[in-house]
Amino acid sequence: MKKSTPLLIIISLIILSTSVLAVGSSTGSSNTQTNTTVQTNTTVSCDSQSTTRERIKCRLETQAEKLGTIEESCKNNPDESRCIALQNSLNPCYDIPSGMEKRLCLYRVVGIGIGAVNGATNEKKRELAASFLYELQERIEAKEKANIITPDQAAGLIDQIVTLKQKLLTNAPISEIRTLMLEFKSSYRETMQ
Amino acid sequence: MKAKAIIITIIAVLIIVGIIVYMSSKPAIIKDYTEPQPNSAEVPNSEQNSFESTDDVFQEIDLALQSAE
Repeated sequence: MKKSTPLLIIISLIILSTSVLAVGSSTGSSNTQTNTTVQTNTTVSCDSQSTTRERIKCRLETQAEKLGTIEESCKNNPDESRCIALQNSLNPCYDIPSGMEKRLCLYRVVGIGIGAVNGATNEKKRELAASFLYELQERIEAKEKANIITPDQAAGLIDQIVTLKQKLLTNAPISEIRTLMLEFKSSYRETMQ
Repeated sequence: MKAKAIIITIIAVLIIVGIIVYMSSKPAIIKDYTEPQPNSAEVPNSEQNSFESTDDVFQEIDLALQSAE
């Protein structure tokens, strides 16, 4: 009995060590699994948020590929598919690094010649104003990604842009848009500078 | 006396195993939480890459709105 005691001790040590290692490694993987589950659920739940601002903030926080602002700004538009098509065709312009070339690109896609704004139709003028607003949204997103502003601040400004674009593209009165624009300018300058 | 030595050995081995397991699992957990952090160095300075200034963009919007009235 006494001779077998060391052997029993060694066996029990091996069993104990194995179980301790198993507990250690299983805790790590369960943490990872929980994180993945939480992230997936958060991505899915962004669409179920009640307000535009909350949906945008949720997508910013979860670093979703698309903020869905094109779809948001074309909501309630009688010609939704045309609205989405226009904004999608403007997208390549925003990737142009040079400011002047980007400006030319936006004018070209909207269908207005440089210096010919006054002669363009009201619909084109509204589309041009909406295209410039998206340029500001890109700047807001960049500052949020660089942690200069919070996702909540960015979502607040982008929500204002989405509202302005909705109004512009659904023929809302210019006086109403001007009032909203003044509020946006003030918020933008306060937050971004 | 012999039994006392065995018990001390067991406790010592368990403590060592525990420390090794704790130390080896800690860096993995830290890695899990640091990976999603964005790399701010890769974010471009959009103010320099886009229109000349924010005022230029606001001016373009105002011009379009003014003539749309």
